[in-house]
Amino acid sequence: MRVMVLRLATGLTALLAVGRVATMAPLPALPFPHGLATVWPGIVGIAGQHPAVVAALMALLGVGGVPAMFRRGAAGVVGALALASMSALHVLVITAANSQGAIHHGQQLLSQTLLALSAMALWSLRRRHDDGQVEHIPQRVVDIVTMVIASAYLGAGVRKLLATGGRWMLDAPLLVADVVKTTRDHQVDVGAPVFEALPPAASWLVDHPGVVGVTFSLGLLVELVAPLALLGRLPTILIGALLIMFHRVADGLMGLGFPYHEALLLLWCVLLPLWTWWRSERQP
Amino acid sequence: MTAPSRRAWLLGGCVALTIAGQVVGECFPLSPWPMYEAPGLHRGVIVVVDGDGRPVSLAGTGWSAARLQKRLIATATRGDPDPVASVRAALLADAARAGHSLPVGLRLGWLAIDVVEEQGELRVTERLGPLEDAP
Repeated sequence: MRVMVLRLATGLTALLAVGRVATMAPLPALPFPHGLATVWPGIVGIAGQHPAVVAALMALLGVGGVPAMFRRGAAGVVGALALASMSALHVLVITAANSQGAIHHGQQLLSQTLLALSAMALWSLRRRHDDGQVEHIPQRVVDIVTMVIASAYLGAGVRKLLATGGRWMLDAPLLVADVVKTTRDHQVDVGAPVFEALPPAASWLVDHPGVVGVTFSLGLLVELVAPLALLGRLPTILIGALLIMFHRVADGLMGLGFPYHEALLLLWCVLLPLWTWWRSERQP
Repeated sequence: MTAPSRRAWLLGGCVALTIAGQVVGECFPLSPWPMYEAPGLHRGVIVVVDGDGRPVSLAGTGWSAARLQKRLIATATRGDPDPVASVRAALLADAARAGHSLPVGLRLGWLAIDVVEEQGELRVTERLGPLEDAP
């Protein structure tokens, strides 16, 4: 895999982070400090108060740093440090958002991916950069990012089992209540009468809780087998596609959307492996 | 490094990260998922009701019932002795910050959504009540 493609993927990942921070409203205080906010409330607080400034800084660091990643000498150092700084800013501002009384889960994977990319960019600096070795770096970076993504989903699956004492699949039909809740939430948000009839699709699901249970049980299985993505290119693509499908279904049934997770899966677990596959097929 | 040993390293790293996430718990950015994600736990939705107990819209105020619900769960799981009061205070503060005030007579309600078993079949019920009755 070429370094240029890796830089492009990293740039797109960074763009997701900048886009999220740029659309955040300023957070004047940290009423429920979380994570780093319990250690460095001052720094996290400043980041939360000025998301637009943080987004601009992140964009500058991304524009300056990503093209310099995995280069030799000083340029490589600058690239790695810029990406690490950008990742740290993302962690700080999202920590501020998570210190408002409710913890959100749409940005963890993005932060983890950026941190992993930063670590790999720093790690690559200690290698001898002869021409042969440079070609090995991108695949290792993709492997590490895939590992981070797989661990996030395995962790989610394990957490579901731990939180329910192993009863998650048995209790999964109860998730039909979330279908109703999501529909009512939406009706409240758009100003519709709360007690109006459920839409046909939601109504059908309410009459068939078993279908909801089987659907979400399959989702849990996909999460638990996510590490299989580390076994090769085809498993990575399959697991990536299944996880995207899982998110689509969860969004449809529960209104639980994870667009940043889906974008990362599409980029790192589907498109990049497909690209390397296509490249290897074309080479003699 | 050979392909099998590389895969073994990656799988080992994946398991290590997973264990670290479970140990650290809800701490951004390591813990990847909600701790309270269990079927049947999200059993209702917070709504604003008028003096006659009828639900009214929150549209256009910049905050939603879903956000309030998350806040209620978050405060309750943090050992807050009175999560309902905390949510009410947060609601008023949000409204004031956005330049709104709750019209006189409006109060918070809880639309309870339960799954009950009747004659071996699951059925969904909905019931509107005061927020203090929220599970």
